[in-house]
Amino acid sequence: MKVSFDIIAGKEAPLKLSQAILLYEGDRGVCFASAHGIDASGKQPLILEGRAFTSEAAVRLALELSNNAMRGGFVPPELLYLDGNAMAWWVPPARRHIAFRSEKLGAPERGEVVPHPGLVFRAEHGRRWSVWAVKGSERPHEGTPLYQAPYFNVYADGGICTGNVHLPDGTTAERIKAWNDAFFGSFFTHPNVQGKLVAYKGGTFKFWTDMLDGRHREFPEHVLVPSQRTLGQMLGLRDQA
Amino acid sequence: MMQALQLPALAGAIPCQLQPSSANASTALLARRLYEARIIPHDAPARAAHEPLQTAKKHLMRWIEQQVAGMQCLTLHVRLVMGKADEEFTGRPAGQGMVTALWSSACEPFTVGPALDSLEALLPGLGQTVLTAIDLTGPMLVPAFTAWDAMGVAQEYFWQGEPNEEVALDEMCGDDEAEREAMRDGMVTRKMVDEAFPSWSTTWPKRRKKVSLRALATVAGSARSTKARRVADLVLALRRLRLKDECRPQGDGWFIGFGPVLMWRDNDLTTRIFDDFCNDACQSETVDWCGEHRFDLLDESSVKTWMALMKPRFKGIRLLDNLIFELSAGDWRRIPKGFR
Repeated sequence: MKVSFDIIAGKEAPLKLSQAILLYEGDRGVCFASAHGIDASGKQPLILEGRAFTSEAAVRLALELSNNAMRGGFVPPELLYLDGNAMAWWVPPARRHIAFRSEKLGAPERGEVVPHPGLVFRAEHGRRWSVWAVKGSERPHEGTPLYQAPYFNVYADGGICTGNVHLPDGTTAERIKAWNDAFFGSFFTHPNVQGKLVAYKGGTFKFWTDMLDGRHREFPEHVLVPSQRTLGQMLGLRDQA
Repeated sequence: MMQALQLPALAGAIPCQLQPSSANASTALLARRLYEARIIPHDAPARAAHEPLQTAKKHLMRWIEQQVAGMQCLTLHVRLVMGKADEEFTGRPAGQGMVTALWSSACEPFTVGPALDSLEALLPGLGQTVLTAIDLTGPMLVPAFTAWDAMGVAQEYFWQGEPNEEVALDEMCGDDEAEREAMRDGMVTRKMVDEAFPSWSTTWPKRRKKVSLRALATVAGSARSTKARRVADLVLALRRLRLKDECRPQGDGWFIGFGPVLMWRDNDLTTRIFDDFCNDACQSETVDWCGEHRFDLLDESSVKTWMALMKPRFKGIRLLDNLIFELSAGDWRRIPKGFR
């Protein structure tokens, strides 16, 4: 039997003293910090032995206190945008492996290395994950037009149907590879767009059959369907057209 | 350097817990009402009850577990949202004692087609009666996403309110036959829905052919198949519940609080339609819980009233759970036919 029960009292719920951070100052300010557990079982709380409070732990604490609103660290060139829990990044056009589970492509399972267009992903921690295509091999900017990503399991609004895909934890820059791997490592099963996924004679299945058969040495960008939005609009930086 | 560090003691005035006084008062009030309703037993040791929130949680959990004992496949979540949290959740002013009690169920797929087909073969109308019980009783307990919902979503979202995709194709492709066929290839089409489900399953539940209560009782008593007898028994028990529609979720937005997603065959069209619907719905506000009841702890009878409302619902949730478990487990193609 799987039953859970909870009482949610919001911000009025009791907050328990759980840790103490001790700061040690010298002439040049704080030069050492240690984090300690608390033993609250006795009459008075007791600070237990601690361990060095590393700069990584300090950043994690700061993120937790500020609800993940602050980030820091090196910025990889593919990172386009970072805001609170949301992150957008670019994947340049390249040949990559793609795998399908769809009888309509000629076999129960089929995978090949094929050319892909440039892509823009957007992930929100614990929420939606989306993808669009972009033309060309230049790093996209705010005014770059977005196109419907030409893949199965992607909705018309860019949302990715995750199915059984295990989504990576976190939306920090160092997790970009994990998100890319999660997308390209999954099986694509069926179109999730009720309209046109690609502008290709013969339709979506014919397009991917031809791609898997190696009919296109480069990704045919003319098949991409405009989403009528720019990168800036998608990120909510400008009013939508 | 480390040798120079010594652990300082915390001053006695530093508290181990921060507890807003209003929270103390409302959780103490909840514990009092639970005590009056005998959910917290009168012989509970006072020392163990020094923290009212934890005490209330522990005893309510025990009461809920007793009510739904015997559940086999669904996952049930029950929540009480109190005070400030209730105000934020409902968007309505909440005094010290306002509580919204909610329940929801995890969304999980189950394959029930072979069972319903076999029941229909055993007695024409029996499979339809069972599915109708799920379609009509589920919304008051834990709503299931069934073939009927799949057809409704396809019509409303994919086919612009029409019975098939032709009007949507007219709009997108006009008369270009090649483009229509290419587009149709990637869509959920009427043909796909018709192939996935028997026509009676996508018909309005009240219009399906159903067997009488007497016939159900006969199946429950004398069908040769134990599974068929058990299913008929559970449907009869669900029909006896006589629930009123008074705990519907009150949130604004699309309802996506479905628990079981009932596929006809493994990995059929149902999950695709359900996923598409949820994705669309999540673009705006959604309601993802099954039922609710809001009450004010300042009213002395409030907790007893909530318990009285929930008792038959918990019983119904257990019956629905057992019914879905029975339909989705075992090999229904080999059940003994006929009656004893």
